[in-house]
Amino acid sequence: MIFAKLFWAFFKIGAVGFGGGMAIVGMIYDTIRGFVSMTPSQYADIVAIAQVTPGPVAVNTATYVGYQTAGIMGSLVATLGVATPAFILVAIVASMIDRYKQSRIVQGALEGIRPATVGMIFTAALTICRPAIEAEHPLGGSISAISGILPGHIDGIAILMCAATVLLIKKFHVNAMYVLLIMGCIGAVVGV
Amino acid sequence: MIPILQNIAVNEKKWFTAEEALDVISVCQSLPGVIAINMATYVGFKRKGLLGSLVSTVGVVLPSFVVIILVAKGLSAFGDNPYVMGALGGLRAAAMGLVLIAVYSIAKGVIKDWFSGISSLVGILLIEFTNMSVVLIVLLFLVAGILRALWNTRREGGLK
Repeated sequence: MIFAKLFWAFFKIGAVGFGGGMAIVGMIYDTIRGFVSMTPSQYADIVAIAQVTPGPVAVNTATYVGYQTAGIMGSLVATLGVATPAFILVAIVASMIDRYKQSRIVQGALEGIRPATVGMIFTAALTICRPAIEAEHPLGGSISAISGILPGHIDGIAILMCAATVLLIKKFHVNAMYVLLIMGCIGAVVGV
Repeated sequence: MIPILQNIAVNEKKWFTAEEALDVISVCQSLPGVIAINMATYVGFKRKGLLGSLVSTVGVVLPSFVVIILVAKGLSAFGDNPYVMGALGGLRAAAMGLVLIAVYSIAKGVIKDWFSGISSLVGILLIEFTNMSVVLIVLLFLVAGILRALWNTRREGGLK
């Protein structure tokens, strides 16, 4: 039964998963939290890992959530579920690409979902940022406790590292994968 | 990942001309799902039909699937190691940066005028402050977009 639920949840996500990987990540948590017991913090960890492993973050997250929920079969079902709708749609569109490009209905639909993708990415940001800022185990726990500038449950170091990430990628055009590796290493050194 | 695919499909394997490749990219981006996988499906379908697309899709998904399973197994063994927890914290912080960058680039791409700004705000409010599922809300926007296109077509006189 859990397999059917997982498949259907991820099938729906795959069918309306517009707006790219990060936007889909928010949608995944919104959809699964009804029947999967997973804290925001556990989910944030999964997303953190999903983007540093090779492959698209949305599919990696689906695989991981499936695995956490119901083992290897669960990950298989979740991955199949999220990949199937796009597979069907791409195969259909590939056989009629010119009609697809010229269709007013398609253009209208694509135009229509654009504002929804802003909402999706906004939710994704909240889903990911909340547990990173209010961490159960803040980075460099002892340092932030001593400094006492921020309330104990706010992870000041994570906020600094987030700012560094944005700066390195947007301003200095460092490859996101390198930035992720650097931040992972800093985190391991700073500890919790 | 997209430049890699583009390079292989155009220069190495000569599956597409550069112009066709741009077409494929824009179509794959417009469809739901992940663009890199969509492109693999598309290439497979164009070359060898349904079976080809199945093979190329499985091919592009399988490696990360295996890696994730291995990582998940590893983490359930070493998850409470302080170094691992620290590294995870660092990655969570970086994820926060990445998602903020995505918010900026998506909002910048979508919000062009008053209308798109207000509809985006409606999207945020619906998703954040109602109990409707995100899936349903996206479908509503999709239908609204179709209705608007039909309405515009009708006003211009006749369906095309």
